[in-house]
Amino acid sequence: MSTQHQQQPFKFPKIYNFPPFFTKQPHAQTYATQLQQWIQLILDYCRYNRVWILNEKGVPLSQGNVDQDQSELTSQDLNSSTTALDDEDADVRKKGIFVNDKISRSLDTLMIQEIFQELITSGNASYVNNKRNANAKTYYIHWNTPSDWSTILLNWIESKGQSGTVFTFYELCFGDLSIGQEFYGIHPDILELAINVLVDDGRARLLKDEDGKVAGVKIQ
Amino acid sequence: MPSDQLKPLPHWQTTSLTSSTRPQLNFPIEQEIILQTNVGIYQGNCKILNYQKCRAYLTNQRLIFVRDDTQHSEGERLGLLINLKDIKKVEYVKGFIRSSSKIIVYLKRRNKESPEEDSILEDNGSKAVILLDTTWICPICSFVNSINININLNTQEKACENCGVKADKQVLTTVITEALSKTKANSSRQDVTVGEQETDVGCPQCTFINHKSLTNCELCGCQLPSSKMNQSAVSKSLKVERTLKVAFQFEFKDDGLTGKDTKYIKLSFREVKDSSDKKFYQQLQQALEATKWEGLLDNGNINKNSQTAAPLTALHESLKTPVFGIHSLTIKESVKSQQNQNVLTSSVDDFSKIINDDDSQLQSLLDSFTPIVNKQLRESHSKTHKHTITTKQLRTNQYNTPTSQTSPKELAYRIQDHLTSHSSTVITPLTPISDLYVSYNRTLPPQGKISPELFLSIIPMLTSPKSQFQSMVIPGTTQLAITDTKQLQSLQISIINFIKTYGIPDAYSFRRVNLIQVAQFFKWGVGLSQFAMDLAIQDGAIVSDVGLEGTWFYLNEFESLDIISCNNGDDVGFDGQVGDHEESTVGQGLQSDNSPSTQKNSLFDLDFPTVPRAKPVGATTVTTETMGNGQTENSNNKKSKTLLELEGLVL
Repeated sequence: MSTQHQQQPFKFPKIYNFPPFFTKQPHAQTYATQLQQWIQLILDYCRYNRVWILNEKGVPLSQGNVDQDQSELTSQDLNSSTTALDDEDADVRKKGIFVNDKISRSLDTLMIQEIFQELITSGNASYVNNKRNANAKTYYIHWNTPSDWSTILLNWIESKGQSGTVFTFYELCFGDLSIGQEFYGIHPDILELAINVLVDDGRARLLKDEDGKVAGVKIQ
Repeated sequence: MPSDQLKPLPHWQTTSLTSSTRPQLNFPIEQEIILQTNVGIYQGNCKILNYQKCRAYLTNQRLIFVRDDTQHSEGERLGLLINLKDIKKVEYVKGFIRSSSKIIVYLKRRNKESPEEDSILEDNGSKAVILLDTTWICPICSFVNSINININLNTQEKACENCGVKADKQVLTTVITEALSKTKANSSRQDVTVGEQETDVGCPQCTFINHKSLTNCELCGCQLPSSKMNQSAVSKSLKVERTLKVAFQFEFKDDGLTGKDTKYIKLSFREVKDSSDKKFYQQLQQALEATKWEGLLDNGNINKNSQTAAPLTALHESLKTPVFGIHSLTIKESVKSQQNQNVLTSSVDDFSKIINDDDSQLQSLLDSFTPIVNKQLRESHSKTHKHTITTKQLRTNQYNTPTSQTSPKELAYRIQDHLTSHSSTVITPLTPISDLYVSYNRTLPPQGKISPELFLSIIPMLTSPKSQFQSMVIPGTTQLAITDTKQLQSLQISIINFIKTYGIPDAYSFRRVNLIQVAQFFKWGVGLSQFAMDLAIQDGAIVSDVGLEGTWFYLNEFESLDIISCNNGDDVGFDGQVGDHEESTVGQGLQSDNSPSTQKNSLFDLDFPTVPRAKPVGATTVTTETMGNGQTENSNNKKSKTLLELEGLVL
């Protein structure tokens, strides 16, 4: 799946090249449409490129299959796709989704904030609690909401007959069983959010080791 | 209350009103002279109850009363009038305690048979005015001129409105007699069919079938003979004793006129400012005298035998014969110069004789002239007017002075007339007040201009809540603009069409325009253009793109460009598009780095009504020069300056 992505970069919709798209529209109804189109664009883009975290400029901070060892806030080295093949994608990775160099337009920061706010209220984004760098606002982008993820997990476990088996987080993300699943390589924080949804529903139980650290999860 | 016994006098006639409830004047012969508001009318001693608060218009042909108090329903869109020719004499009665000052208008006797009315057809123009026009075609330029059919050809010469060549009298007489016979035929036919004739009307000139409610042909503009309004005009002029459309409501059942020979009506002035009633009276008297004089002229009793100078008249007569072509024009010219020479030599002879005589004599002569000269300066229309036409023009100018004589309300009506009559050509749905002021003042004679203060004070009257005109403040300025709410919709449509047709396609072939293009195309100032675009944006018709290069306006394509993710498999033609995009991106980049002033020039060079190009303009028109960021900033300043200049020029 991911190899296919690298060959065919995300195709931006036509509106991304429509200059007024980058100006906050004064007309209320038009603005509502504009906002929805931005949200749709962000979610589409993030889903396509498996972007987990965006910063306030729209630069993907975590993308693709996240190794659990990796620090969550370092931009991944995206090996092959950063070539000249894919201008727009490279631009987005460098300057963020809110800048379109082709038409020399960029979105106003206020408007960006409103977009993120709208994303958060609709449950498609949440703040990253980053202790090291409290000022930098970063957002998890939930192109699948945590409850979506939890449903996917549950369906997968049931279909594999693994109900009641204890998994470590790593096994869920990178285990042999989960290869080819949508959540393969999911960002651990987002996985945790999904598991928490299951825990709240009483469908999962967290198993902790002696230090109080979560060692595994039993989903049933 | 309406009395059965009391009949309105036969002298009363009606006229239709314009949309702003001003009387329709018999243009161009009829000129408005003076207006008086708040006038009540009496017939004899009896009040006409529904005409107790009206505006009285005095024109050089009629005395017209328009009700002021009520909203005019369709049926009541009529003004009451008395022809000046029906007036015998007028008398002024001073106001006393509670009774207001009045003008008593004695009317001429009218026979039931009224032989004069029937004789109109033979003796044209001697009596009541026929509100009918016909057309004659200029033999030189074949322009279709309109002419009133009761024009007196003995006294008036008609020149072609297009080329100015005087018309042959023979041509005019044939045209007029034809028209008259037609009218006669029409009216006799209508006597039978009036009432049930509700079908559409075919134009007599171009045979276009017009709607029955139209008065003029939709295509060629000529007057429709059988439309309702013209019918009324015809029947009005031909049959005076028809029932009046206006319902009279009399106070008493007796007006004290029955059995008396001289009928009279009274005008009561309820609101008098600076003895405006007296002015009205004076003007009325003068108008009556002028009418009498014209009546005499029409009858051909004046100057019939007088001859200014025999040889000259002979020459003049020779000129009257129809002559065409350059050769005859040169002859005409030489004859004229000959005349002039004669006049000059004779006067110089006279003058030298005087000088040779005595200095003191000359002085006394000069002194004797001064009072006359002064008098003539004071009242430019002397009673001894030999050249009716020139004095007429002078008089017109004098009468139209609105500052002193016209009430603000009347001015508002006039301005509204001006706005509506020109709205299709001169005035756009958005008119800055300054423009309106200038364009309205241009229609006024030199001595009758109105002051800006007065104009400003009128604006609130013009833009009352129920009016179709509203005032708005142009954003960013303190300027007001008058908007025609009826036309705002069409304005938006024309803006959209403008962008669709003349918008420059950007790198991704979205059509866009900037403010200067809009200003040029619609011939607005920059501020006004901004205002219009803001209005269109507020309605969601167009969207703006604010960038470093300034603001561009695009059509609102947000709805049509809905995001449908193209990433779900089919990527047809993507590669080709990428190539295109990159090429034009280079152009785009250059354009954005260009100084806005050069960019503006390229806009000015752009032939405006060109066929929209399929290729992105960015790639073709952009020059090769590039500038740094700092320079861009400088030129930004420059641009704002030029914008200011533009604004100062245009607004």
